[in-house]
Amino acid sequence: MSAPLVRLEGIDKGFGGQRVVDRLDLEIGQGEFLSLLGPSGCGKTTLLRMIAGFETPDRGRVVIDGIDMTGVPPYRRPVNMMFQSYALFPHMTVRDNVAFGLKQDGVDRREIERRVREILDLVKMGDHADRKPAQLSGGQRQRVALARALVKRPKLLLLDEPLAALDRRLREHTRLELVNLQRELGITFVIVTHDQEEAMSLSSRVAVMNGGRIEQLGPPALIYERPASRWVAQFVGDVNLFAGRITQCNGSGLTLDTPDAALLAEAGAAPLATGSDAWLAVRPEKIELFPGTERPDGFANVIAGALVDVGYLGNLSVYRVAVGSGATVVATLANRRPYPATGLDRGAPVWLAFTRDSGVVLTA
Amino acid sequence: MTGWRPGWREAAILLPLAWLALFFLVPFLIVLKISLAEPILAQPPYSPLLVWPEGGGWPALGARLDNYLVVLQDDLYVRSLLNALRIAAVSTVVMLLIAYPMAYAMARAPKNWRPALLLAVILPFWTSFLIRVYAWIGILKDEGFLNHALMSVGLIDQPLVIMNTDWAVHIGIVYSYLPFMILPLYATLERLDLTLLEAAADLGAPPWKSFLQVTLPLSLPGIVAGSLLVFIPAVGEFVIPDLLGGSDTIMIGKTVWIEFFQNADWPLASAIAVTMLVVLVAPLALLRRGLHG
Repeated sequence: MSAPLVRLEGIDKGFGGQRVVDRLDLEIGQGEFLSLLGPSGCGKTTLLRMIAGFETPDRGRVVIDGIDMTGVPPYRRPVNMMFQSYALFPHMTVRDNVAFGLKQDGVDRREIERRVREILDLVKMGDHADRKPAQLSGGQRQRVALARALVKRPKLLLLDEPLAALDRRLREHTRLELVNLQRELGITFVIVTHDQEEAMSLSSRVAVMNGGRIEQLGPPALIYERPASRWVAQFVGDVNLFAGRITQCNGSGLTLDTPDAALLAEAGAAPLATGSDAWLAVRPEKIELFPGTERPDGFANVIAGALVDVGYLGNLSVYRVAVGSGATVVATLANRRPYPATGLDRGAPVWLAFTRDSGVVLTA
Repeated sequence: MTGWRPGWREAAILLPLAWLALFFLVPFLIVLKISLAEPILAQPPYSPLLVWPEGGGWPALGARLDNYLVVLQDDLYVRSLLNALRIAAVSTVVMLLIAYPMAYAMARAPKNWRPALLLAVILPFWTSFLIRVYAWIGILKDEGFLNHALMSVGLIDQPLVIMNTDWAVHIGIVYSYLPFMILPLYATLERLDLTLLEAAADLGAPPWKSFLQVTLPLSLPGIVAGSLLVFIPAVGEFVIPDLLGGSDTIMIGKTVWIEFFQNADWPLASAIAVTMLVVLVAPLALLRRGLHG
């Protein structure tokens, strides 16, 4: 890998005695699309603002493109930001808003005109150049804000919850456009979001943040399929956690003794000590559901239970099943047959089944 | 859905209109009427607008424009009007230069400080306007506090002659009207979205450039409101030039007073008042039309 575009080294930041970012290290590569994902108050926005230069870390260094930018004001950084509120200048037209950044750099007037037109066409706002922000819809404002942040061709574009103000339909559409735009321009994007679906669909890597630290960093599929901790597993998507004790762990697999059953799973790269406490995390859609009393064959893990209730979501149904230990296990099944399925009344006996490679063993 | 009953909405609009009619339009029409009369030695001291012929029949209109001719032709009135406009304009600019940084600092002060700062701006109103202007005599006169202080520090060895000059009038107006400039400026600056300044900085504008390109244009409504609020009453100001100004500081408000009370020429005084109003309102009406396309 070539030298990273951004290197954050040992960043500490607090507000009024409250530690918001805690000894954080992060490297962002050239051309990457990185999501900072976490609940509100996890420090993701503060981190973004430190890269932009609006906040100065209490300790640590912000290195952008090989240059230490820790104390450099925002107007001297090769970085642009798209604000959550868009922060369009209300007294300027769309054209003047987009031209603003180029004017500060003293770019030639004809060149400004050309580049503004080019970028407005790219975000399909060319016909609205003479409007004021108040005359635009939310989606149009979002495009103008994006154009304004992109027109200076920054090395790094920071996006603070860029889709939060859009309605659902528009958000899904805009997501695709953002990904295409990022590929087309080759600019490094760093996006802050609390929406895991957004982080999943947009980014090449996701940094899951909690309490000012990065809990896990990796490609979206890895975060979802191989979460590093219970916290990550629960924050990103839904998960069933079976608590138990490891009774066997070797090259062929791992056995976790739980109140409901001895569950089998693949052994991770690092061997785990037998006798230690652990959790098996299984995603609801990886669990199969069988009605009736006959135990299904061909699964490493089978647990008996009784159906508590069913949530019908159209394409999916969410089945909540009470198991022997008193816990409730959730299984999500696609409605491939017309709903309601036969034999799945409330209180009916069901079998929950999943394969050996469906679960992840977690010790934290 | 409750919805407005149409009757209430119209009443709500009517209320300010009624106020304006009762306390502005009617008095103005009376003044306009008097300005078309001629002074007579009677009670009231002006000729009636309608002269009823003895023995019945249609009344004759007793309107004359003589007073306006006097106002426009006599150098004194034109000069005092121009003088008032000049003093008010200079004072307005000085107030803007003082008030803007103050309002800016107030708007950027910690939120829990702001009520106290706002109170400090309004506090002088607790004392009578007249007393505050009187107090300035004590400060500005030849043997007053200012000269005393400057001489004891050794900055000057002769007292500065400020009292009874245009300087004193400017100082008095700036001091008295400053809160009316600060408050609308503060209101617009306090509302200013600070993310806009972050956006400007992010796009490469150092603080002074983002002030000129973002803060200043967005506070323009406050600048206009504040300037009008101080400029218009300052033009007609009578007390300050009377108490602090010299005999050669002739402002239009003082001239009106002299005509009314010293010369008892109500029609001429009314004509001056009407002329002043037209001079002030006409440019504003044009400005409004210009602003609103």
